[in-house]
Amino acid sequence: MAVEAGGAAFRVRGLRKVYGSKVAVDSLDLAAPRGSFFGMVGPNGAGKTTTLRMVTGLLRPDAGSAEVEGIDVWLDPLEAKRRIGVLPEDVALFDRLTGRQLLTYSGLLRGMPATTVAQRTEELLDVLGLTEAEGTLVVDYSHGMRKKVALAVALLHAPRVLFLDEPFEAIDPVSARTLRAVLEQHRANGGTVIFSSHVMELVERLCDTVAVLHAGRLVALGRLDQVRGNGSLEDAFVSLVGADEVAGGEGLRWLGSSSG
Amino acid sequence: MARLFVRLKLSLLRNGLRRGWQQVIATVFGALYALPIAVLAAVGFTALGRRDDLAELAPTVLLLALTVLTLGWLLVPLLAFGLDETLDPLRLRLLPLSRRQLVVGLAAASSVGIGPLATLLALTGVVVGFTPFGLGAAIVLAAVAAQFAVCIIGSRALATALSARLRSRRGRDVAAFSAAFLGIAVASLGQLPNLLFNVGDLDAEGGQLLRLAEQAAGVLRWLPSGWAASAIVEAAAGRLLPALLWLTGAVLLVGGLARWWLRALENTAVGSEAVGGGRLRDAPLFPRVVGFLPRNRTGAAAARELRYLWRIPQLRVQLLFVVLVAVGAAVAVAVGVGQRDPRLVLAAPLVTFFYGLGSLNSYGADRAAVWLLVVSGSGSQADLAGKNLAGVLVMVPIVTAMSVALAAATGGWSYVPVAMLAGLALLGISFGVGNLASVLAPMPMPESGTNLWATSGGAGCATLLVQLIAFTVQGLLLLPVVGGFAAALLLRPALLPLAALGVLVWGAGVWWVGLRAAANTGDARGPELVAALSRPTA
Repeated sequence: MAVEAGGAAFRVRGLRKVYGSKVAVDSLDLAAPRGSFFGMVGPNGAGKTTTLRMVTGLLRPDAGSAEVEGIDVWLDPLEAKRRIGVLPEDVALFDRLTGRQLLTYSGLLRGMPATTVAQRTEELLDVLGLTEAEGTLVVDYSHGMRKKVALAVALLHAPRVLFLDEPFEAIDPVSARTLRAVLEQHRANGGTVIFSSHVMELVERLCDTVAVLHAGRLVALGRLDQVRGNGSLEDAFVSLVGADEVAGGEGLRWLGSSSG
Repeated sequence: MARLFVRLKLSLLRNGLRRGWQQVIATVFGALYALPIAVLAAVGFTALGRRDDLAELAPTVLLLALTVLTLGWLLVPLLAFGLDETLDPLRLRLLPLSRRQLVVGLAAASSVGIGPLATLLALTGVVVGFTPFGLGAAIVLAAVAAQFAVCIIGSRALATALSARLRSRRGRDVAAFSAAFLGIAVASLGQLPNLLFNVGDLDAEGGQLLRLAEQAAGVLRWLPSGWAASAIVEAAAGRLLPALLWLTGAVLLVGGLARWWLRALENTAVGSEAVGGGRLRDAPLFPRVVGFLPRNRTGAAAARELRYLWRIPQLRVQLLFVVLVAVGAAVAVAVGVGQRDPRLVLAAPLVTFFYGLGSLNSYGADRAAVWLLVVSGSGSQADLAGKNLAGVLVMVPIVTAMSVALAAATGGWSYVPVAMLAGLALLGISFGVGNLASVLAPMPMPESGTNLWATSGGAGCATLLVQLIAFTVQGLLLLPVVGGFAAALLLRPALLPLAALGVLVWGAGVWWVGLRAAANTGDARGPELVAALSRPTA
């Protein structure tokens, strides 16, 4: 699937990352169209997180280039980062602050004027349902609340492209619905959402464009219908990575019996 | 069960070594440090017991030594090394083990390690030195075994009993304060020999010290920590009946400690998870007292750092330590220890040294959250400058208060402005070097609040080396300050204000150079910073 240059929300060329003897990302070429809900799927260890970290400036690639809306992330980091919002998988935040303090801090950190920061902070806390948590430090938040406040941090500066790594992992359905609504609104306003997941049903429900990664390589890329064909995305994925036979089931005869 | 736990501990130790060569070096150094001391202690104990000319000293020294050993076992793991989290009972609570099995197993596992090995070595010396021929030998052996058990079980019991409290944030705060207090108390006790030696001449001193030691021993033998030692002393002297009584006491003590441990384990197993702290009023990011800070990157960084200095237990302890040192020194001078020279006011800025140490690793408390800084593209300069600003806002009142207090005690009011300027200069130097060290060799501070003096975990050798070099450089850059003041004081005191201004310029210059270098390095090394600070600290 071809994405015209300049029309890509992000593009990587020949991206490569090697850890010792393990190749995490193997000369990846990938592009996502603007305004899309782009899903990167693959099993654990496929290189999704590594790729996202290299595109957002958190991990230095061994080779290759990464661009966000045509701006090279490593050559012109300031401009690129202005357009990027990131929600990583392990949400490490400045958690000895309350939600409001954290948002104020992130906003001021990006050089935004104090009044804009204050106003957007209130709106985000309200929309994401975090106002009841007033006065509680982020370190005491539940997992879902942490993700929501992290999403607020990622959205505060109105980025053009959102990168989310496993955003719905271990999230209760209510928080998940709120997250989805916010992401949809972001997209409706012209933004792009790039998210990685290994939960195929979720990707099927939300995304319009899909990239399938396996062992650091791109296995398939295209619109959702194209990639999954007639079956489900999970079937397509499993056959693409060549793991057709399902293991397990034989043996383990003692499982579930009470003979201890 | 005991064998299983010992094997578990050995596997954990072995795998710990496999994690990296820095763990191996740490273990080797630990062994090289502890084992020779243990051997020396063993030889010392043997000599103590066997040599006739030391016979009258023997009971006192043995008692004092074993009391220190017991106290060390009780306190050092808490203050210095934290709970042994590999044997955290909380991780074992889902297993269907009876509490008794747990105690036996954990006791066996706790006996494996460099500390226990060193203790056993030292205690062997006691056995060799103090065992008499005859029935007394059995008593001595039993007493030594009891002493070992008291150390191990007592230490674990105390740690387990406190673990529940240490898991809640409020408990950690109390522990932080107690630890700081204890540290100061120990440090000031260290001054006692100095005070004692101020009196009299050499001969009288020796005798005086001995009398003091004997008095202390007389009191300490009645404490539980001294029962096993008393049993050994009595048995070695041939007084079997008293020895037997002391031994019974020691054995009962071991039983009591084990029971305490059992109960603490039960409480830990069914106790609540760490409950979050109470709700605060939702204060804005900028504390009201520093509402004058500009609402830009630097101001925001300073505000956050100020909040962190209070909310992260390790940082709070460091701050309290600085305050306590300042207060202690001022009180000491006021009370009259040493002379009341007005020039003592110039010592007030030295308290910034302790804060400057922390600035060598400014990102330690932020840990993995630095990714937010990298991804925002805001640049390290604003953040580091903000941290420095927070440091200045905290230390200036402290230095001022200390200078004023010292001036009130010594009458050196004219030195107060000079002291404050010197304080700023010293901070500038510390921060200049510290900023650069923080971006070159960051070390994440451990999450766990159980070990409050741990300011780094799993730091690589290269990181530690850079920190050491930075520390040395800090010291070297301070020399012109000290030299300048000394010269002015000795040669022409009227030049002191000039020296102060010169030192201030020097400090500001070092700070600016350090900040720029750190900013350039930090901006170029964003991903590496995140990687270094995201490393697991356990």
